[in-house]
Amino acid sequence: MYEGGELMVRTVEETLATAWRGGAPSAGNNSREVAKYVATGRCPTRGLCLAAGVSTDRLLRGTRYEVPFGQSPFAIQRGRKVEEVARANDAQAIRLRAEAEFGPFARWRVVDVAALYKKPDWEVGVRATREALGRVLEGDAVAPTLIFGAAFAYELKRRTQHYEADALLVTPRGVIYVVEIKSFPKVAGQADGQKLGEAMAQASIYVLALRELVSRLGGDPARHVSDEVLVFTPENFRLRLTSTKKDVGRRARYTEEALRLMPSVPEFERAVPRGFNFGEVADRGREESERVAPLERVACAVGTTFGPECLGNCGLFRFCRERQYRDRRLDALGPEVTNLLPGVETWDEALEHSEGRAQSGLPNVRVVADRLARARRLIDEAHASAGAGTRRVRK
Amino acid sequence: MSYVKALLAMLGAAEGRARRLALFRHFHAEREPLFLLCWRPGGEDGRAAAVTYALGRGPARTVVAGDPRNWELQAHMLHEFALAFNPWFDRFAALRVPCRRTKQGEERLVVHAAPQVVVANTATKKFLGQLAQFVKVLPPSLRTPELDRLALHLAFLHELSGSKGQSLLVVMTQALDFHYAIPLMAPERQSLSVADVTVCHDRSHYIEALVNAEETQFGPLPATGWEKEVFEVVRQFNAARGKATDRASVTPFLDPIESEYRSLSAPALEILRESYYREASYTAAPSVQGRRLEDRRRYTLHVDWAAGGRQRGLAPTPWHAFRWMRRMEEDAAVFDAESACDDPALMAEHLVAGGAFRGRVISSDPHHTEPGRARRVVRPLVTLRLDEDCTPPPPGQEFWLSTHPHGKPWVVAEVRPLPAGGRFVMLRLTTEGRKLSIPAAGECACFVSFSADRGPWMQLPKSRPRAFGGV
Repeated sequence: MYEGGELMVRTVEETLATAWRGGAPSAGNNSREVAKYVATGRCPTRGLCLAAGVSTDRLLRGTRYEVPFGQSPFAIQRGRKVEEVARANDAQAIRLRAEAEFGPFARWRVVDVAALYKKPDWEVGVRATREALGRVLEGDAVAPTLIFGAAFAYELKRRTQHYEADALLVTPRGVIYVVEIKSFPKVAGQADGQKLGEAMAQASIYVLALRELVSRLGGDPARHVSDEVLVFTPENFRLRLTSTKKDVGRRARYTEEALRLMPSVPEFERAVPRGFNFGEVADRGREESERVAPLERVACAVGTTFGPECLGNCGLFRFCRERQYRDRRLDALGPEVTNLLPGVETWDEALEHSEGRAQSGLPNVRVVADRLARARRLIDEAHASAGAGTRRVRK
Repeated sequence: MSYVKALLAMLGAAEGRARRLALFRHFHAEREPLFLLCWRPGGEDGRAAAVTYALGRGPARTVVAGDPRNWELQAHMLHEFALAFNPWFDRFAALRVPCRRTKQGEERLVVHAAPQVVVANTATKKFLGQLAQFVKVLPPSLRTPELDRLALHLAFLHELSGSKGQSLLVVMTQALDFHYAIPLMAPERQSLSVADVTVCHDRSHYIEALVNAEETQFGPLPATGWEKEVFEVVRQFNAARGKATDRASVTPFLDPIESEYRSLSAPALEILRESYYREASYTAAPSVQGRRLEDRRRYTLHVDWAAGGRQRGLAPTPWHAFRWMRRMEEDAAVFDAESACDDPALMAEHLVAGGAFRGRVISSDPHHTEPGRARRVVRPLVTLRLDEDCTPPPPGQEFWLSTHPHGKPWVVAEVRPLPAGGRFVMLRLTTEGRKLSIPAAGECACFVSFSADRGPWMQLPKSRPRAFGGV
């Protein structure tokens, strides 16, 4: 953490987290990792990876559980081009949309914090952002109206996470908006729902970090930080920018609650096997079984959640999927099945209910068992009565 | 998800192979549909890097843009694809047959057959819509009549694909998801090879085959690792072509890119074809024919409308959006009703959920009369003994016979417990039912709470309502 420009003593939590990470590839502690953790339903093992700063995408490389990851070079190039357009001519494109939204700006001053430092040396960027926002809150005449690459040092469970927002916009009324610049297009007034949702999830984390910073600077987050974010995207496949204003207040509250409920490092320490570190799992010089065994131990000790949101948000997806199938758990079939069968954990148990072989004292499980038994009778009857009418006919 | 489907999914997970849910095939299958795979570069929505297509089991053809980020190259590539696609899509309009007569005695003609395009997943279906939108924003200098027509056809297919039961654009992952209880989570089922391998594999359990199946790509977005390789090939292509963008000049440099996409498409196309023809070999449900007639009717309307040289805007008008939404909802309701009444396995879902009930007819009175407004009217009565585990229907609720889910409904007149156990249900038909086959005593009858009729067409008022700016 940075207080008064001095680097504080490294906390015990950071020391422990670094020990857990060992030689495993680092995730970089960015907002995307936090968004992925929240998306996976607060999986404890995913949370441990987040706490240790481990990249789940790269952890199991070289094993059969490896998942493809990374960003397309075409997408990276397009993202850079869109960013160039956004920054061109003193961010004219953003100014035009902002004035359409909030009215004319008496003055327009753009500060590019990202140009002042190079990651992972965050100190300069965080300080520059604090200074810029400090001027904004004081109502300084030379305070910036647009801050590119605003850097935050966000405290998460006594550990510092660093985030970089695409931009912060200060309206004529002094309200600060988080700005996201994305390369997916908005066609005929509609942006892709899933991509917009991901952008909002990321932006909600910046809103939390901004609120914390404004509060520390003596400002009132409720007055100075907007719950709405501006997502700038190209319009109709061209590079002309348009904006979408979305309220992420509820999402930010959900994220904040999810992060509050995330176990702290001392809580993880009580569960994580002594001597464990992710470096053993990531070590490609070891046999696959030797790499996976410690991960299996820690997953059993800490616990996991498994669901459709894990695909695409966690590099341990295949590893967890195999565990689900090994244990014959209904979670492997998704919430469409588990929501229908509350109180039933495995498919063997469910099938026993459908055959009338299992007894349960729980009323809801008895209801489920009756319905499964009925479904079984009906489907057996349907298949028996079908006969030759539906047999495959070679065309 | 229904209990029936959940049960079959669990059985599939336990046995290691997906169980079939529907006994029949509920989509129309052509002998030679057009199989289509589309590829786009990452970050570039609506741009087609390559299109691979094949008619039936015929040879595949791949058309590439070179660098789809360049508008000229992209337009020329789509034009080349349009030169192949448009004639095939339009040729069905040539042969028409009588369909019905209007009330004025005018004969309506409909095409004898309609095209069928088969794609692997919903992302490709969505991409076709984006491609149509992209063509609409091309500058006039790059637009050609063939491109405009291609955009019309793709927009039509994309719009119609939201209608359940249509077979003009078949999405194989959706088809498999409907006909099987695939024991995987929803995002996993989006991959055709993964969904297909649970149905057809040569291991002891599908989980052993999943990782290999996940390697096959179906587009439109290829894997990042593959894109990194093709990015370099595209860079070399751009260096070789210089500033040239016309098709004739750049074609000699397209071979390496075409080769990459051909290799990428080959395994995907094979799985797409095998999956389709495997499903096509099942017997079609009786209602498929009626829905195919509806497809042909809509296709006829589309080609006749397109022949007028008209264009649609980038976004639908409110009227268009309203009609589309109404049609989708109605199609979905009709499809669900027809497929359940055709297929005993799908009917089982409704029986468990309480949307249908069945029993043995105790007494049947097709000539039962009761006082009407002016005279006595015929209202057939049927009394049946409900199956033991059926949920008794509430009195006053409307039902239809599963053998004839059309027209006026039956109303539940009375539900009473029987002394020996069980219940009896008396139903009264709300019309004379002269053309209806009333179930006789001793027969099994099944009643459903949904009808397969399309409702009256809703008309918008001629003048704009005040709430929308009218007076």
